[in-house]
Amino acid sequence: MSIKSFREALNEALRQEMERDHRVVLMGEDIRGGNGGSAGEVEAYGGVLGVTKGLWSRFGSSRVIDTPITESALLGMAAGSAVTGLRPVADLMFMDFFGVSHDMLYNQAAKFRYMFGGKARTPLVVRGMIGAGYGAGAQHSQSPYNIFATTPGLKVVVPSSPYDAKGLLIQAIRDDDPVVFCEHKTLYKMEGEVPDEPYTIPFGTARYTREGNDVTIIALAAMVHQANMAADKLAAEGISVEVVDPRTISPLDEEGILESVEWTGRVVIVDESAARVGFAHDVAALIASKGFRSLKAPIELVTPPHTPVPFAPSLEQAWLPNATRIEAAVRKVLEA
Amino acid sequence: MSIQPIEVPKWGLTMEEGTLSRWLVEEGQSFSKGDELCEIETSKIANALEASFDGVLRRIVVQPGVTLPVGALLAVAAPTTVDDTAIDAWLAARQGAAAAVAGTVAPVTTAPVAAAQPEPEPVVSAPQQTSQAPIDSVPAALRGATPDDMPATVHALRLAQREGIDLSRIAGSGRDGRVSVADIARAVQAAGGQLSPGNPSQTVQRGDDSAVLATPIARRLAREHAVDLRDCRATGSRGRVCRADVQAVLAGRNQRIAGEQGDTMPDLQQGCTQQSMSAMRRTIAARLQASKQDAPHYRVCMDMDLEAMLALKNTLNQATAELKLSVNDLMIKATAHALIRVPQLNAQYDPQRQVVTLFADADIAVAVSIDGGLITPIIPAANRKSLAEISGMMRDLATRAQAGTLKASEFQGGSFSISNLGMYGVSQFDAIINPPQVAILALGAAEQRAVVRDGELCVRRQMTASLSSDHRVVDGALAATFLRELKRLVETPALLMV
Repeated sequence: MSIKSFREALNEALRQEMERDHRVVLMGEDIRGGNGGSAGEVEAYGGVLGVTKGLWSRFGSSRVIDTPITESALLGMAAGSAVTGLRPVADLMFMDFFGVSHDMLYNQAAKFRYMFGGKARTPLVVRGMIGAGYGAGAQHSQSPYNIFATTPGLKVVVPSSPYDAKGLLIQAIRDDDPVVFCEHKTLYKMEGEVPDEPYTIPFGTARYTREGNDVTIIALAAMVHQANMAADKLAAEGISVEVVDPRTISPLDEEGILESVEWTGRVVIVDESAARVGFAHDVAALIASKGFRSLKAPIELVTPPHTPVPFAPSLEQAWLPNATRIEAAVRKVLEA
Repeated sequence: MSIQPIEVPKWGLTMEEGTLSRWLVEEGQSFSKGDELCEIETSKIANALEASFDGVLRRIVVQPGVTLPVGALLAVAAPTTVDDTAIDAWLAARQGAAAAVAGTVAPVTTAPVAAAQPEPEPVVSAPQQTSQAPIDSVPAALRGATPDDMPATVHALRLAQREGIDLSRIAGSGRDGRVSVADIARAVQAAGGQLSPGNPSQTVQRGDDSAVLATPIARRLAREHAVDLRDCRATGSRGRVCRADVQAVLAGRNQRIAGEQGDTMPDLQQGCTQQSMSAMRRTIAARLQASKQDAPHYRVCMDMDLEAMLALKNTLNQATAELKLSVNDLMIKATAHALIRVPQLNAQYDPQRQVVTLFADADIAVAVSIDGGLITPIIPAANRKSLAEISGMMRDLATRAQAGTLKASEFQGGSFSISNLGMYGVSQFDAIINPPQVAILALGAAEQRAVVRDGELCVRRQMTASLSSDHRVVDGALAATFLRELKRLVETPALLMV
């Protein structure tokens, strides 16, 4: 157990899984080094974000594969190699780019097991950045995990801490189905206690980052930390908030969510993905249909507005859900 | 389904015990879910216990008249395939367990389990409430410490720790056998126990009843009649309090008795019977006891000549076919007018705040005898009502009082009371003040008496009115003034037209 950053936790998970299983291969744009590969400067960055730093020199070009800038080829290669025996981890860099390659993922990889009567396995992980708050503009700041979660056959992971990132990535690599692994770009520097040895976290198990009696906040990724901040502020006033981080949205820990709702009777759902037809709306529908009799107040959603993510930093901050808005939502459900 | 207990239900948050009134199903009889099994009376309501499952009533454990705490065993249900010895064994085990718990001086705690509780991931906890749920509800077969690696939801682990349950003894229905709260509840029930996994901090902390699940209509009705939803049963869909549940509490407030009082106790001297106090009788007893203790009562009596009033009554009744005025109707009217003239008696006294409230109108409560007790429906603003209105309203209120369908607003409050025992031939009696009112008028029969008028002995129809007053608020001279005014109105009823 030691303090590691979210980025280091991911790197460690990849390295340990590659050491454990020779079928685990990495593929993506610039994942080898990101600086031309000349002597002494190899792996200066270790990928655009440094997540794959040190892996190319450790495992070589046959297992850490730089690809051309063509996402459909990248995911086509990943899906094909997965179904023919490898366990690829494809780095899409920005999840915003899924549109270019989505046929490979949602109409091919996600369908194989079903269409081939369970005879085909597609142990594929697609990693990528999500999230706003980094000044990356409208095309590099989205959180399309809700779109992945609509597709049966895809598992969708959205971790919020270094501990969860490592355990869930190892679980994703060992999983025999395609997994979309969404990394919030504002979390890479976040540090936390992470065990040194490999471990897994089962999919579909929520983590409660705060336990409380009065209100349940459900949040993912960076929003978990905004929810925690709101919860801590409200705790000083005697308002006891439970923060539920589902960690994976497909499969979704329905029990973990509904039991908290039954306990508190009041719900705020925070979601960076979409103002409409998003994760928040899905969970709200779950609670409305299976936990309605526990509710003492209407469900409150905290989402961005229905606009692209603005580039101007002040507008981007105004666009993002934050602790202040979450706090206001908690007060609203308490007064309802 | 094997052996299942039938227990004293908890109808509302404040219910602690209930008295079994009578059995509606006999031993050996089968019943369906929703059938009424027995009647149970609480301090607030009398109601029927409905079966929550299909079954056969195999053994009645408790006889009518016995008062028991919530959750106590009333009877045992089991299919006919279960033989009597199995039921005996089940009963012995249950009674043994109850005795074992009763035998321990300190409440059983879950301390050893708490130490072994796994802490799988860093979690910052909000201040924990110290909730100690009734521990005897978890069957011994499920007790123990949960192993560290047991897959379970956060709330399931929390509940297991609170109740001292070993989750590894429970089959989880979740992914990879993960145990949920629902799994625990199912397992505890299957093993013959009972568990309420709710959030105790909410039910205890909140003083309001907003946490109670209720239909919107029920909530509105409860608000209008100041009924606490926590006192209501929840027989509506999805465990909600529905309109009928609120109405049941209102009916209880109307002090209607359900069922007979035929619950005779065994082991009595020959010829004697015992009756348990009904909820209504207990309420009457408590209120009148308090009135007698707190209010210094004194009586002032006066005879009133009724000839003029009876003549008026006959004239009016003969002139109007549908009118059936009684002496009582006329006395209500006369009393209302007297109260307006002597307003200090048309009052309520609050000894806590040391405040006397004088009323603008005479809202007269009239004692009506009903099965098993009495109730005092109110003629509001009787001073402004015509005789016909008073007469019609009195008849309606008395009818609905018998039927137990009065609304709370129709019998709560009032600024003055009248009790009339004239119809029984009573000449004169004293009544006990109905607090927070400050006086009550007791009316005897209209009877022929030999009286001296203008030096001559003659026969007149007369009535004796006795006024009981609370001396803290009403002095003797005031009481006498009121009776004098009433006498003037009764003997010259034309004044009522003025």
